[in-house]
Amino acid sequence: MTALSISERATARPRREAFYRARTSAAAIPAIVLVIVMVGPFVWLACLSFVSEGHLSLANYQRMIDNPSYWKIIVATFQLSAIVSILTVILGYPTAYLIKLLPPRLATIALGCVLVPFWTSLLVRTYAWMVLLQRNGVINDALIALHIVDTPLRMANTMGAAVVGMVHIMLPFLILPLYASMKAIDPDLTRAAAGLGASPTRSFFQVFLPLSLPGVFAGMILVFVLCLGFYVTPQLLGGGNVVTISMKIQHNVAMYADWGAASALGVILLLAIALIPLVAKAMGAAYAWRMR
Amino acid sequence: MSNAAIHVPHSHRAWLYVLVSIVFVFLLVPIFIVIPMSFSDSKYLEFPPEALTLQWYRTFFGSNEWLAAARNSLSVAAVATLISVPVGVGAAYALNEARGRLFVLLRFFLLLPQLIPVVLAAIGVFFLYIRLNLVNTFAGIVVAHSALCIPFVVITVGAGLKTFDKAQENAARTLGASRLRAFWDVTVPQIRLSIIAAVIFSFITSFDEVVIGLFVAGGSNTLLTRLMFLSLRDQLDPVIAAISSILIVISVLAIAVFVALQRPGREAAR
Amino acid sequence: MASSIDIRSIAKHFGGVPALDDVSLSITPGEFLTLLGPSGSGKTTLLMCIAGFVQPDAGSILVDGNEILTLPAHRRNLGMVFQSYALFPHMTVGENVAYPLKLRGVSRAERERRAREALGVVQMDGLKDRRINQLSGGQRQRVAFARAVVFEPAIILMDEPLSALDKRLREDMQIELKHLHQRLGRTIVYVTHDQKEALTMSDHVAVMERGRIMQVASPRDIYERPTSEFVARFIGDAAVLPIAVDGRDGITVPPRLLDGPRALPCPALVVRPEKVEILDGEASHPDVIGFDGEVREVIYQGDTILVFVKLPDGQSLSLRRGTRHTVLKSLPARGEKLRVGLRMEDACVIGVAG
Ligand SMILES: Nc1ncnc2c1ncn2[C@@H]1O[C@H](COP(=O)(O)OP(=O)(O)O)[C@@H](O)[C@H]1O
Ligand SMILES: [Mg+2]
Repeated sequence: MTALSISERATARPRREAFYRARTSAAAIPAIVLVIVMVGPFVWLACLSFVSEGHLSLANYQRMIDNPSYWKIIVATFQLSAIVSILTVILGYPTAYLIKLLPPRLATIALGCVLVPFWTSLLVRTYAWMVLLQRNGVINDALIALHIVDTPLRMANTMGAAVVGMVHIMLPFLILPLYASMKAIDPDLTRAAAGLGASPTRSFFQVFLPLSLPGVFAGMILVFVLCLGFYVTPQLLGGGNVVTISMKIQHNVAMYADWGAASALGVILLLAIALIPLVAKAMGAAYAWRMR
Repeated sequence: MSNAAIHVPHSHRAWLYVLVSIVFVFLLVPIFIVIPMSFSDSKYLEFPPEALTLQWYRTFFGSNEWLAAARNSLSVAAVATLISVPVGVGAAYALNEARGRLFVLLRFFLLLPQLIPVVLAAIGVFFLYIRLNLVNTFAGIVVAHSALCIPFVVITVGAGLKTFDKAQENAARTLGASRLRAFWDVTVPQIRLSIIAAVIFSFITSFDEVVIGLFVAGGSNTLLTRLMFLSLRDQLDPVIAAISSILIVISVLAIAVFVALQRPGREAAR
Repeated sequence: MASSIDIRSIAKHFGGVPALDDVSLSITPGEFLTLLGPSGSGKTTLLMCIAGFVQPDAGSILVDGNEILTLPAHRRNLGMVFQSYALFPHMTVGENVAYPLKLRGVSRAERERRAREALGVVQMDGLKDRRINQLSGGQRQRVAFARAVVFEPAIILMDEPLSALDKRLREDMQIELKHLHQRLGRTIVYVTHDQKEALTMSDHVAVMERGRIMQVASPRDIYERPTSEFVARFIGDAAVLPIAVDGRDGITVPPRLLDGPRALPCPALVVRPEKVEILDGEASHPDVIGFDGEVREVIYQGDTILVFVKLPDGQSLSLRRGTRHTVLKSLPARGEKLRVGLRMEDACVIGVAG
């Protein structure tokens, strides 16, 4: 074998190696095409939102700034999402914690109870709340029977109804990952705290709670971000009294065919959704730093 | 067990038990209360029902509109599953082999359909389909739904592949199997539970999808969820209680089937 | 039946780091060749190049004179035994062994017959309906071997196949595999980091370090005639003592020891502990290289006893003896002066880095 032919190989082989590797990645091509068909058009719309009357402009965004109703909708969406995520954490944290404490068999059953709503159609769950909260629904009937109120409360078509429904939908999204992260906390740490004489309450607040906070943050951010883009439940339970960004986008397209406004609002929603986890991650890093 | 280490009397945890019981009632009761209500003869679906009736079920099974929508939903979900599962399995395989930056990029891309709010994808797809004359077509709906299912397939099958010993596929190849054959003979049988899970997830994801359907699934290709949503926006149609009950029972059965499948499978693998 | 393998100038980099650096190796038909080296020296990478799972950057691999690098893994017709065995848990033992035959379109009856035969060779014919998870480590090892040979490949590759077994079983399996090799007469390329395993089983041992082959030789020559300090120290125990030449510090040896086909710039003497004798007051013999020293430590190890000797120039060597009563009685104690010697026939001179 001559030196020349070896060096020829040396250049020929890496190309083949790249080819082999590319062939494995090629298994993802059909999926990527599908994703592009689904997500690509919005990217196109997002680009178009910066075009007005044939040239680059921020007119679509200027319109939103000029119109205070848009601002109100954005604020309302953030408020609604914040309330829902806080309530979800308040209800979800003790639940995840208790499931972690349960013996394995009971924990499996409890997790199953969390999974059932997860597997049930979103629309069905929303509908269930519409029925329960209606004027002559079960809850009003019960309240009247118990003489807590005289006349039925107006619960349907309110912000409150939207919050209740959304918390119901979001709880599994918080409980399941939070449970997993609590499971991963080294039980020796709380045991060590107890061994050092900390009361169970103290060892919970000083050891377990701080260690579980990253999981809580992650779950809360997930819920918050999901709420920001939520459409079905706030629309049906809010009954027009709650207007979120998603609803406005739907409205702009379906009613007015106002693509410019819809996509500009969509870009803002997307930015919020992309930025919040990043900000949270930075906050988490700062928090982790402080814990050292 | 951590609960054995620090012994706290149950009485001290009473408040925790009470609170969590309330959470479970909150999670489960609204779902299951729909079933008895669907037999109520009152238009307002009283609970407990004063008299029982099958009226709402009869209305559903007697309505061409509802039945057509249910049929559409089933066939869209079936075809979307048939597309998204093989396509997603391929993607999961590629992702499992990918390293470094390629891995991060590929994973981001494959999860995108669930990362962006569905309203945005919906208006985008609507915008595209108007130009391609695909609005309200079967093909259009199926493509959008398949994409929506990809992340679930990639996640479940990816988890299965992670527990799979790659040397087995290599072993099959030295024994004379081509890559595809090795994957089919050796890998697929061992990740079949993840694939079954992916099938169930995909089907449910497509069947339950509302927002995309709202934009691009009208006319003769109306989906069940779209019809339910539009009907609910105007009034509380008791027929929906009957439909919801059917869907709840199907969901619970799907979980049961999945759990039953998982049990013997796990034991055989041990 | 058996094939030759000709590995020529194989190079492989992983992200700029060389895993194989200009590796060349010739393996004759029917040979048992072992790749031996510390972890990370590139043994697996070289084996994977032969098997077809790693594509080298440069070089060529010929089997019976034909290039195989252009063939995909499944066309190379090599039997391979993996470290984890890689048996298929969803198939029975019999199905595992019959699988390569099924891929080759062998009829069902013929498949069963040959699978039974292959299992018979490894004394596993009674267990063909067992599931893989019902087998012990040694049984899995045998099934993996049967599966790798059932389709009669001309070459068998094995990557640390015994490393998951405990010591006793591993030693039994070494002998068993050696016998199987003698019976089947296939070319075997075997990877291990265990030097004793390599010496026990192989016709030839190729010692690797940092992606290069340091030496290829028979087990005896690898041990007795290492050509580098790395090989001398990696295999067995050895003291490497620089020799005084050209005014360099070191021990003095008879000049004829340094007369070789090639003159080494910085020669050193390799001293294996079991070759060292104790010279009690004998007159110096022309065939023995003698050293004066002092016993620094004596360590009893059960089957052997090890004596560390410090030489006047600060270097040290050790000697090993069996623990027969008479030997133990005659050994010097710590702090005693003694004279030790190495026969010229047992001496090996290597070149070391200046
Ligand atoms: N797929 C790979 N990617 C990157 N580096 C690798 C890969 N395979 C092996 N290496 C590197 O190549 C070197 C040789 O590895 P290997 O052949 O596995 O050694 P051995 O089998 O002798 O322990 C090591 O430094 C290892 O880290
Ligand atoms: Mg190795």
